[in-house]
Amino acid sequence: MVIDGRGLHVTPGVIDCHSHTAILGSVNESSLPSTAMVRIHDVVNSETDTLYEQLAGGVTCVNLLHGSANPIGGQNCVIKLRDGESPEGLVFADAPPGIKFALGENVKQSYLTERLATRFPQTRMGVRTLMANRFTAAREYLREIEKARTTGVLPPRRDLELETIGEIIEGKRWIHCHSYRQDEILMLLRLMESFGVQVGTLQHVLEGYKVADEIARHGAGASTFSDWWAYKFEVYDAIPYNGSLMRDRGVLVSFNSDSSELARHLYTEAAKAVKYGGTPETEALKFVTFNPAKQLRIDSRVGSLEPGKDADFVIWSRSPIDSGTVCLQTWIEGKKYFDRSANTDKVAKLQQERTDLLAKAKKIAKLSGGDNAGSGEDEAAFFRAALEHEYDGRDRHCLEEQ
Amino acid sequence: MTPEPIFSPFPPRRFEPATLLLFLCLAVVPIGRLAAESLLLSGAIVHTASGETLSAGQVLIKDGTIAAVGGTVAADGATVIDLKGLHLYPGLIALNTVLGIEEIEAVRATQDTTEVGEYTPDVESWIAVNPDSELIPVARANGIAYFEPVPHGGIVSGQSGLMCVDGWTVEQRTVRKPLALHLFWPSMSLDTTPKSEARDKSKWKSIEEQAKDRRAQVKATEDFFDEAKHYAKAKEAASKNGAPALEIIPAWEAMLPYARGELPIMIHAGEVRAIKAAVAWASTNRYKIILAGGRDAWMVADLLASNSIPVVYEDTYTLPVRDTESYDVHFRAPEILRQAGVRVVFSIGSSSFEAPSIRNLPYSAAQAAAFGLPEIEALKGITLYAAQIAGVSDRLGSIEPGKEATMFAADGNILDIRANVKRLWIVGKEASLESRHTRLYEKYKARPKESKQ
Repeated sequence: MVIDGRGLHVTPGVIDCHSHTAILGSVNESSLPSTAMVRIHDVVNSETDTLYEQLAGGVTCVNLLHGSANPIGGQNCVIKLRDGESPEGLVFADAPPGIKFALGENVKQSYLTERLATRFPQTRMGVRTLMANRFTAAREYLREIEKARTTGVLPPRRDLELETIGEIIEGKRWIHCHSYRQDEILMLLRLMESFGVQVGTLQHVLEGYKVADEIARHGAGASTFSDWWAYKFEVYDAIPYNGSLMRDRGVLVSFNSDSSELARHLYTEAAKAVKYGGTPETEALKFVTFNPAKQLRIDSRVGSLEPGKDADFVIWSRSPIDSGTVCLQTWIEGKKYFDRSANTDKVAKLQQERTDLLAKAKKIAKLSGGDNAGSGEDEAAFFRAALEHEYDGRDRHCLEEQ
Repeated sequence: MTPEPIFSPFPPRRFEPATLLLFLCLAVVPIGRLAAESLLLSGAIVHTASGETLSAGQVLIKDGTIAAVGGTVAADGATVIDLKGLHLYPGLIALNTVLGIEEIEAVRATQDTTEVGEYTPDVESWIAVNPDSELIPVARANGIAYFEPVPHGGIVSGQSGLMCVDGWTVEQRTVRKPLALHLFWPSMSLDTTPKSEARDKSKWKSIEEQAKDRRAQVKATEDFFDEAKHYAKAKEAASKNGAPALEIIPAWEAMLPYARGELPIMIHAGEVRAIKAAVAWASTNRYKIILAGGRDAWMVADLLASNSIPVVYEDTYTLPVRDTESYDVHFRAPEILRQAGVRVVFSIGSSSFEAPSIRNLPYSAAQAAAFGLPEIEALKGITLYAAQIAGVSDRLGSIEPGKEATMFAADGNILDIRANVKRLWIVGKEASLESRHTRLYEKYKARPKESKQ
């Protein structure tokens, strides 16, 4: 099969390093300050329309993260947008495991009423203490297991939380840490260094530009917003030059969405690195392709167009950095998942189906109304309600998940 | 391209010349024109917005006013400013924002957006704009020259004005007051969550109860406006008959220009049933309205066109809300509306979260352009049409002789994210493009490398 791409642009699929899309129910298990035992893998929703909507914006691969309510959050799940597959069929099996961490205003429960904000920690001081305590406990847990293995004494009772943190200490699980202020960023880097842990990515990291040298030296990736700021106090110093400044200092930078809507135009977000701070266009494109692939340690499979890699690619009408571009086709592993030219038919079919169902529902609602008790009134009520129903249109991201 | 006739978004029959004149005298605040020097902006691609785009044009500015526009115009002793290679645009106008009345969404003390009460027409947004908000220079740095802070709260939340991004005091920054009354149309949708799944079961209501509440709320709103009309009539009658003057009631006084149809009511509605109900109500009462939000406006484009209702569209970047809608429905909506004959102005929304992002206004228009809206219409949707809706198109919104010299030069197409604004003039005076962001950028860019901890 030959695709005539004359005059068009082809790029690797867009990779979103921070998303809460396609997750069933709440993205936060916010009961405890450490919920390392919970898994996003268990709540992947393969039925949602957002998969198609994001494919239509060239997105092929997404890092699904737990919310930011806890200093130590839940385990992540990297998926490919193989729309139509089962939840298991979406999972990017080769992606190394990760976990969400969070710092600052969200974890210290700044947005709860005083009556509800009682959990330790309530300060940035406490966040460090909590993390240090859990990592110390996990290290002891690993020691006891090792001791049991070498001496034959009984191993400790299995603890899913400490087991997970133990995987971080052993370098088998990568931290993706929601962070904003420069002091908390350094706190995390230094604390993790004291446990011999390298942080996978700092997420949001809106003051990363202030400590870019330190981030580069530690070797953490930085997955930031292109230009969000001032929605809360800890992001009052956020600047859109963040991505360019960090890249200039040698940090591996990506731009993420944290939003099912923004994800659909992450490609134009990349252009903001060109606008603010003059990142070259090819490097800016990497902010949403190659760099997030490296940050998620999946760059041997995805993130660039190279022989041997997964055939995840996007065809555009213009360069994706050009604000006038339109995504025309999106392919994953050599299979076409989005084709703009087929979209009109798809929508027409859906609308026809809706029209038919509505006609049927209206018929039932009419037939069973009035005093015809016991002969379908419940059914009629259901359809009357359904006819009024409207999706709340809520776009979920971690800032709202307090 | 041929210049389009500029028509008012409101049917002209609604303007009584006498009231219009009175209104202009009272409401339009002149911006101080302090001995600005004469300038000749030369060599830029001039996007006039009202007429032709000049590939290398000249704009003569005298006393803060555009004196001449053309391929070559007589310098007349003006200081020549070479803008070769740049694009010159009229200052952008951001309608439907909360800029200036909020600093940080999550810090309650910095919010002046939302008042208590269902009907508070005498609340005025322009008096509470903080001229030193850090958000304003950030918006200004991307070409935003004017903005409309919208009061929130109840159903009739108050009145908005039009503000300038430059000026020493809030009074100097007020360009026009009032611009519109804000009516947040009551929600017409029903919550179908079963009682068993309701978060707060004590607050759960059946569909029938909700429908009843909904009717009552709309009725109350209609009654409120009817009472305002009666007050206006009574006042008029009293003045004519030499009867004793009416007791002055501030809320009804505030409603006068709207009850009389002299000034527009900006109705905030997104869902199609709310839009239809609002249009029917306005048309029955001959109110002059602007639709703000307009998520589903594309579904009733003909209805809006036949009633000459312009749309301040804030949903370019909104996900489809019905599973039968195409993924790009909100990208294409502005073009659907335009083809039906509806005037479309862009807004990135007046939610608290959006205030810091007003600088992205041109990109909402750009996305609509990528999906079919002619580029010139996208540009007008953030300049000239916005000026028309704001009632200031005699002064602002395009690069035309006689208008105020508020314009900016960018190093590319402003509908492309990569372009940066290089210079900005507000009423003929060059304004700073510095902001909290550029200051922090310069500061940390200069941080010595290899600094030890």
